[in-house]
Amino acid sequence: MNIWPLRFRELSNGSTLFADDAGGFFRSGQGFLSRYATDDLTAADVAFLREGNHGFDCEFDLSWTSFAYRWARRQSKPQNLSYAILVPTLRCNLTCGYCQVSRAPENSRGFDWSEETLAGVLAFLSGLDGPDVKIEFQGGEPLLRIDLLEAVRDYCRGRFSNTQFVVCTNLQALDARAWAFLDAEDTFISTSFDGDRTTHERQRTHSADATDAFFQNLEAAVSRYPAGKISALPTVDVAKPPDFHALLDNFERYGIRSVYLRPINYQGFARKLDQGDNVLVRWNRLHSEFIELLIARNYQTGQFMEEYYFVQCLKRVLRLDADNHVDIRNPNFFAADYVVIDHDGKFYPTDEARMLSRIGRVDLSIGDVAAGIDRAKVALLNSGASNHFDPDCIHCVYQPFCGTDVIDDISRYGRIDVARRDTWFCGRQLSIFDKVFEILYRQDKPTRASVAAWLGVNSWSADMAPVHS
Amino acid sequence: MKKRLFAIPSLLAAGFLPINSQAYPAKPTFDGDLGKRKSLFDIFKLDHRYTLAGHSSHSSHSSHSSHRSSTGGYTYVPPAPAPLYSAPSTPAPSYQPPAPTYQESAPAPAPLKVLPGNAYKFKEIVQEVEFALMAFGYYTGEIDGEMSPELRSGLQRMQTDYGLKVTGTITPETLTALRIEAR
Amino acid sequence: MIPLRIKVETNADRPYVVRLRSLEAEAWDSAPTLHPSEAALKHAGPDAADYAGEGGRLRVLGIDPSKVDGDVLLVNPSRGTADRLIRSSSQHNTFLVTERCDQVCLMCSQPPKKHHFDLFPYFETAALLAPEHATIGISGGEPTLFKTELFRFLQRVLEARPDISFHVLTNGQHFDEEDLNALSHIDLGRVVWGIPLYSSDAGVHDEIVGKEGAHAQLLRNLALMCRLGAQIELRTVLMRPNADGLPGLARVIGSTLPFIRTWAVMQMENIGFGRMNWKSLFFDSSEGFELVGRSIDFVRSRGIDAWLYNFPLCTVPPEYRHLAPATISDWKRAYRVECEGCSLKEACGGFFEWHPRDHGYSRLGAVQ
Repeated sequence: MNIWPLRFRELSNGSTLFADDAGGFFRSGQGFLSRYATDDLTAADVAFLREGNHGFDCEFDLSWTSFAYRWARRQSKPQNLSYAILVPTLRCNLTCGYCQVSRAPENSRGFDWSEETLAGVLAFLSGLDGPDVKIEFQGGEPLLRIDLLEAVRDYCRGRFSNTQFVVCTNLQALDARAWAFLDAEDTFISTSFDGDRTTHERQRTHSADATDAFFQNLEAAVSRYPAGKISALPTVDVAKPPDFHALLDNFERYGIRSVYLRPINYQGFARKLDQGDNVLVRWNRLHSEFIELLIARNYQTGQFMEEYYFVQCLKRVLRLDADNHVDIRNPNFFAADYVVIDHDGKFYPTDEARMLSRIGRVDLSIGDVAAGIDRAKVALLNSGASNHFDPDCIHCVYQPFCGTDVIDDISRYGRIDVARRDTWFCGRQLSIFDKVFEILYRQDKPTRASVAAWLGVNSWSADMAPVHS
Repeated sequence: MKKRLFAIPSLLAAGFLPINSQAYPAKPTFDGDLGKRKSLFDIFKLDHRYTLAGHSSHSSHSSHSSHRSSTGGYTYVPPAPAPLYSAPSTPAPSYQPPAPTYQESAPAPAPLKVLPGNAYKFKEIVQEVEFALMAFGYYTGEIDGEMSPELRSGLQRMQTDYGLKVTGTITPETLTALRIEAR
Repeated sequence: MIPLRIKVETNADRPYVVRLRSLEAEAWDSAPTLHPSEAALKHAGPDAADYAGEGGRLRVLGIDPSKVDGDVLLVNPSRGTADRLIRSSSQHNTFLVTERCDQVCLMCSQPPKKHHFDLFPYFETAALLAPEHATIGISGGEPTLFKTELFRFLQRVLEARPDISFHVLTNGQHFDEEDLNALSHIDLGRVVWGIPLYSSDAGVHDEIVGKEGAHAQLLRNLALMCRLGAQIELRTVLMRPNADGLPGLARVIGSTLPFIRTWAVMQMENIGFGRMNWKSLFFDSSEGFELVGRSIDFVRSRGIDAWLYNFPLCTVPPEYRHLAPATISDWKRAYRVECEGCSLKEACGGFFEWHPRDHGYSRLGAVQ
């Protein structure tokens, strides 16, 4: 049998994790590692590797073919452009300390789409293939320009057979027209809720009245709409995290069982915040504690909640098809399936790219609605979209499950060609995947219950993750 | 639009190499296999739209969602079981050897549209027919919306008595005579 | 039980395919023009109904026209019978292509026979007359023993009818490289191949199918099917000889057969050889479900679909019932006295009509 190359990494408990290029993995020890390295495998080794499909006898045999299939399936395939993040205004009625978008004051001028820009956006949307389209309204506070939202939605409903709209709103000020807009079945709400009242007020609303307004609107929305209509995510300051117990209680109370724990982003005003030393290490520790809290709480309440990004990474380890999240997939081609259109009609590959450009760091715009998408620039950006040839990634046991984030690299280091191991993205991913494999192999009941629920199966036992002794 | 200045003047300065991104092996192939230059993605049909027993689902995800968006929340509702097709494998027709002849193809037949609710509508009309025939003394069975031998003979007698064409079926003129509206 | 064969009288001298149209309870102006392969209801009495069309006259006996409206019949004049090749109201229409087979499975529900009659021309006509969006089953015997005819049939029907799809039950023994060309002309997005694999252990599999080397041949051909992008429904009938190996098979599916579309773990059917060998083969999954549950959980955790076919819901733990759709075809489905008052009856496939009274399940009964 020809064995496909295996990468390996020592786990915290002293055992060694192995994985092949197609993401087939198993846990073993130093003994196997040295037999593998010295080409001295036993018959039992070979039988184990065969069952796990880590090798093949000849080209085109079943093992070879399914290995090729697994590898191909793990690659994120460019899809049709069917998703637009629209920023009809940069103006906002809040001044959050960490504001990631360098928002503009509510009453300022020149930060909204002009008539020409709106026409350009609609013309751009008309050129999409369809039949499905998803539109996300960002800001600023997009509901400040509900007339633009209505114009876009009306147009899309007429142009596409299947439409979905998400309004990313701070829920501060909702008048009858805003409620009427949100009432539609094809329209969803995404909001920010920083976990508990104190933290939310400190980071976002800054006054008791504004905080009250937010909670009143959130509660009104929760009672008005079916489950699944509203999602919320907390932005977490590693220096002053919210009370995680209260955060989970609150999210559950509002019917939101999936929590995307988001560290304060490095872009925008947040660059000026001092989060202290060793932010990465402290963030990873905090995140790991949050996972442990979830596991304990889920077991106790029997009501399962998840940390969205962690579960996404968990699924990327076990499944071949978990590439439906734009933050982690490989390759992560830009302007392939989604694109951002800013208040001035410029295209950006991601929202983070828009912010980086806005603050004058680097121009990551890729054309505008008048001139169209600048495919040459997109192609240049795409040269960094994959982790396949990165000199560090090619040795990493987590490479098949991981992705890239060149925008974050530029944001932090000004370049994309830094040593991977020195980047925030890599440091975070290593920690998350270490945690994923830790819990996959854990035997305790609470962990197994949460893993099963997160994977959408009835039972999970540690023997479902392969071990070679 | 006025020219803005950026701290990092170009993507080149940020370390992007102006290589042709086509060099990326997004199209690995089984070389020469199948006699066509198809990529692994093409070969494995990774974007098949699967259809099974009238149940259509997309093999891959239907849409990605960024963390900001909400395409349905996180609830542990088990997925609705797809109506799966299990083929039978029992008493099956057996034949005397017929002479298989290709009937020279007639024009392709129009597919028969089976509209959901059709069966229900038919049942409703049958109930009305049963009720009307009962009122006129041609039927004594259940008002169950089912065509039965008794209902057939009732229809025949009624059609004879009223001078209609005797078919035993629910014809338009029978409906008219019974003052029932087709729908 | 729904009758699949009905009595007819006809003046035709050779077999033919016809679609029946009642056209009852329609408004005056809605009468459609008939296709040459259709016959319209002219007269219905208590015992017989008369149809007429281009193909001649046809009298249908013993079943009310409302039950066969839209059905496609294969009329056999000399026998005075007609087979309902397609019942328009059913999701479970199957063409039995041949009764020959090269395997002799221990639990075969329909033991093979030597003779074979080529009915593909009739099947093609019938398939073209199928209701919109129909899924048609192809079964045997082993259909791919006549693969040239089968592939041509699939290609022609799929081309002519972009709305319909096929489910082909095959033992997967007869594909080879030379078929790649013929298969590449078939729209494989609309064909699901139901292929049995009983064990990851070649010995166990070969013993069950009664053919040495079958396992190795099957694995070779599964690789071929993968390269074609064919949709495979892998079928594993659960029996005593292979039950213990189920978790091992699940692991191999995860590592080596991830390209399948569905894994179906199936309960046995008590008929044919299955009835003969019932005592030694039947695995009481109501007692030993843990094995089954763990196996499908493993496969599902890898993002591969897995389902339970032909499992009465009361024999399945509540948390797995949503994975047990009502798969027993309408015409062979029956409920038992124990089912009376069961709250799950609507969603349950029940039992095969011929399931023995001494059913073998230690846990069974109405769920309140």
